[in-house]
Amino acid sequence: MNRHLSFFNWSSILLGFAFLYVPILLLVIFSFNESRLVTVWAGFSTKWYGSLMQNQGILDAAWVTLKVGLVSSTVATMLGTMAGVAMSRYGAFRGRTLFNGMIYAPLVMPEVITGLSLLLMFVALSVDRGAGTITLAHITFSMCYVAVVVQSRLSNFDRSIEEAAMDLGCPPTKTFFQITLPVIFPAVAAGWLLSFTLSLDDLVIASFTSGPGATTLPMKIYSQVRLGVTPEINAVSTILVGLVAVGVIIASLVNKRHLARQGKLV
Amino acid sequence: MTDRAFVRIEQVSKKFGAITAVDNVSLTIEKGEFFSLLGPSGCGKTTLLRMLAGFETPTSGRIIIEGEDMSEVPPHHRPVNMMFQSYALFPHMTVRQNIAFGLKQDKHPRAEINRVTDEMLQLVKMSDYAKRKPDQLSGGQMQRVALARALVKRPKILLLDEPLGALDKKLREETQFELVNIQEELGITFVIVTHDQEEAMTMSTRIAVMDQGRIEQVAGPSEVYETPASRKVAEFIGDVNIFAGRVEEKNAEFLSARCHSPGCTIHANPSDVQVGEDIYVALRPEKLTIAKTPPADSSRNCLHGEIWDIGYLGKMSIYHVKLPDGRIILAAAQNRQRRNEQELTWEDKVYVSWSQNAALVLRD
Amino acid sequence: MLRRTLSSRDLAIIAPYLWLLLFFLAPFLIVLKISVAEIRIAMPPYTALLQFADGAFEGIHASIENYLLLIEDSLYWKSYLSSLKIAAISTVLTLLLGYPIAYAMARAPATWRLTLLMLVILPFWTSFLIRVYAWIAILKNEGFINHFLLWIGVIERPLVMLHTDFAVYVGIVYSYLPFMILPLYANLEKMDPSLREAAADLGCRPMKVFWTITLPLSRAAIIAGCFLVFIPAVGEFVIPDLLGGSSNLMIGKTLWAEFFNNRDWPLASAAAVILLLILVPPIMLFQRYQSRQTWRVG
Repeated sequence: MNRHLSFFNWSSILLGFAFLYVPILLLVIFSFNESRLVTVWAGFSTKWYGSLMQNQGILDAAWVTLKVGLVSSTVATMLGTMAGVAMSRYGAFRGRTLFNGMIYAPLVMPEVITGLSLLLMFVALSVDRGAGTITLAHITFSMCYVAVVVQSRLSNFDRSIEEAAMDLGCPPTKTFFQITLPVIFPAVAAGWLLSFTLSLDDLVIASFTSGPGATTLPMKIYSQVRLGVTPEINAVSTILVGLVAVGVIIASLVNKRHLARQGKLV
Repeated sequence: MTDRAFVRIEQVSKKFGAITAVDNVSLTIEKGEFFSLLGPSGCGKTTLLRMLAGFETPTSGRIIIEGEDMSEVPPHHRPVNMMFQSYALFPHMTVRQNIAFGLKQDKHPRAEINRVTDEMLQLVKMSDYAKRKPDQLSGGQMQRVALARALVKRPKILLLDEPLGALDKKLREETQFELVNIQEELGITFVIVTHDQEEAMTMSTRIAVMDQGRIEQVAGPSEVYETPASRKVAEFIGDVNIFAGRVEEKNAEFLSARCHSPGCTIHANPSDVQVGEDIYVALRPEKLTIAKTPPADSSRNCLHGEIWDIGYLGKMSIYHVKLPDGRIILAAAQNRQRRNEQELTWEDKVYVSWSQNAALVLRD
Repeated sequence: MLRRTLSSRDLAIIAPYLWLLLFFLAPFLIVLKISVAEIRIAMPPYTALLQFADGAFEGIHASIENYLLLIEDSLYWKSYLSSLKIAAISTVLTLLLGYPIAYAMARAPATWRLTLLMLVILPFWTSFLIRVYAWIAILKNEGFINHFLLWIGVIERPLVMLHTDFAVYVGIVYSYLPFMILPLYANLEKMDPSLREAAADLGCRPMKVFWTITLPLSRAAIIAGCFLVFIPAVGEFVIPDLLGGSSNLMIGKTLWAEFFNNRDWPLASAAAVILLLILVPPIMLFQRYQSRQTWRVG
C-alpha cells in the first residue's frame, strides 16, 4: 500500500495542527511575559506564577474544582459503567427507548439548557446550592459519556471468556467483576478521565448550579476574563495545559507499550 | 439401556425466531465415549453443544445428564466443562491462574489447588509456561491451556468446539492422538463438534452425522463410512460415486438394478428393497478397480471411459474417468509400485469395475 | 439466559435509570412548569403553579404570556434563527477543515498515527474556556494578527476581528474541531485500503477514487461529526459571549442574559423550552442513528 503522504496531506496536517496549537503556545509564552500586556513581549519573567500563588481566590476555586471533579467523576464512572453494560447487554426491556434517549441526549444538549433546568429543580426542591449541587449536575452529564465509552468497548468484546468462566462454575455477577471488568478496565479508566476533564472544564452548568462560597476555577477565570485579560490567567492556563499534557502523554505511552507487548503495533 | 446412557437428549429443538437450528434431535451418549457431532457449517451441531453446556435453552425437549434434568440448571452448576473454539483464555490472568480458575470457584484449599494445577500443567506439557499470559503464547500452546483449564475440575463430560480447527496439519495429527490418550487416561466422556470428517473418524467411538438441524445417522466410524444411512451421509464422508437406478431383479444371491446414466447394470448384495423400486447405488472410489483391459464379466458392475484427470496424492492416485454420457466418476488406486504398473495416463481408455459387495444400495 | 427474580442485573439498570429520571428528565418538566409562570420580585422569582389560600386549593395560575412575548419580540426569534445559521455554517466549516486533517492522519504511517491522534486529543482535554480565551489575544485590535499585519505593512489600521461574527465562527470551529476529526479519523482509519486500490486498479484517477469510494463510505462518520458539532453549537454560550459582539445574537447568550441579568426566570424557561423543541428533531435523529450504528456493530 502506498503509504506516502501527498503534498496536500502533509500541508493539511501541518496547517491543521498549527491552527490547533498556535493559540495555546501563545498563551503559554505570554504567561512568562514581563509586562502586563498579553500581546507585547517585554522580557521573560515568572512573576505571574508567583502572584498566582498569592491569589487566594484562584487557589480556593482550584480546590473546589478538584473536589467536585474527583467525586463527580468517580460516581459518574460507576453509574455510567452500569448504564453502558445495560445498553450493551440487555436486549429489549421496558423503557429502553427512553433510557437510550436519556443517555445520548446530554451528549449534545446545549449546556445552558441542562444548567437552567437543574437550577430550577434545585430551587423548586429548596435544595441549598453549592459544591454539592455542582457535583450532582456533573455526575448527570458525565455518566452519559462513560456509558457511551463502555458500551462501545463492550460491543466488540469477546463474550466467550464470560461463558468460559460460567462454564467453570463462576456465577454471572461474579463473572462480571472478575472477568469482564478487568478486561474492559482501560475503557472504564478512559471514562473516568473523560468525566474528570469535563468536570474540570465546565463553566456554564457550574455557573447555574453553584451557590455562595462555591466558585469553581472556570467560573473564576471567566469572571476575571470579563474584567480584562491578565497574564495571571495565562499562568493558570499554562499550568492546566501542562498537567493535562503530562497526563495525556503518560496515558499514550502506557497504551503504546501495552499494544507493543501484544505485538499489535506494526 | 438407561444405565449406560450418560447423556440423553430427548426431542430437543431450538428455534431462533423463524430459523430452526436444531430440529427434534434425540440422542444418547454413553459414559466414557468419545462422541462426535459431525456436519457442515450451519447444521446445528454447535447449537446442540451449547445447549448441553447451558448457554442456550432448548425451545422444546429436554436434556438429561446422569439422570438429572438440566432444564433449570444454569451453566455454572452443570457437571459439564467446555473447551471453546477460540480458546477463550482470560487475557488478564497467567496460564496458571487460568487453569486454577475452575478450582477456585469451588473454594478448594489453596494447597490442593496448587497440587492439581501442577498436575494439569504437566499433563499438557505447559509447566514451563505457567507464568506467561495468553498474549505471549502460540496457537498450539493456548489450546493446551484451554484443554487443561477445562479438565482441571474432572468434569463428567467435556465438550470440545472445533478443537483442532486453528492448527496446522502436523500439529492437528499430534493433538488428535494426545486428545484420545488423555480421554482414555482420565475416563472422561468427550463430546466433540467438528466439520472435519477425518478428525471425527480418527478419534471417535461413535459419530452423529448432522445436516440442517437433524441427525442423519449415529454409528461408529466404519459403519458410517461403509454403510451410510443416506446419500447425504455418504456424500459428506469421503468421496463417493452415486448412481440412480431401478431394481429389476432380486433373488437370494444378488439384486440387480438398471442405471440409465451411466447406462449399466449393477449387481449388489440382496437387501430389503423391492423390485421396481427407485434406488441409489453408492460406490467408494477405492472399491473400484481401474484397468486398461476389461474384467472377466463386463456385462455388469463395469463401466468404460476415458481418463479425464489424475489427482496424484503420493500414496495414491485419484483417477477422474469420463464416461460416454459426459459424467465423471472417481476411482482411486494405491501407488504400490514406485512406478505406475499400468502406466495409466491422460486420455487412456479404461475399464472401471467393482465387486458385488462394494455396491451400496441406498433408498435416499 | 435462564430466568432469575430481581437480580443484580436489574439493579444495574435501575440505578442509572432513576438517576437520569431524577436529574435529567424531571428538571425539564420543571422548566416547562416555570415557563408558564409569571415573574415576581421574590425568591423564587416566579409565581407558583398551584395557588393556595390558607391551605385551600384555589386554582391553577398559568399563562402563556412568556411564549407570546418570545414570538412577538424580534430579539428572540432573531436569536433562534441566527443561532441556527451560525451553527450550520460553523458545522460546514468544521467539516471542510476537519476532513482533510482526518484523512491525512488516516493515511499516515502507522507509527505516526498514534502520536497524531494524541496531538488532536490533547487540545480537547485542555480547558475549553482557556482555548477560547487564547483567541481574544489573537484577534483583538492590539492582538497578534493585527500586530503582524501592521508590521508587514499589509494594512494601515487594525482589522476589527474580535467581537464580530467572524470571531464567533473562528471560535466554534476551533473548539469543536476535535469532535469532527475523531469520528472521521476512526472511520477513515478502519476503511479497507484494498477498496481504493481496487478502484485505482480499474482505472479510476485519485480524485475520482475519493469522490466515489472514500467519501460515500465515510458518510456515517460525517453525519456523526456534524451532529456532534451542530447541536451543541446552536446553544453555545461561552464563545459568543467572549468573542462575539453586541450585534451578535445567539440564543445561548440571550437566555443567559435573561436569566442572570434580568432575573426573568419564567421568560428564560420559556426560551429554553422553545430551544429544546427546535433541537429535539436533530437530537432524536442523532440518538436513533447512534443506536442503529451500535446495533449493527454489536
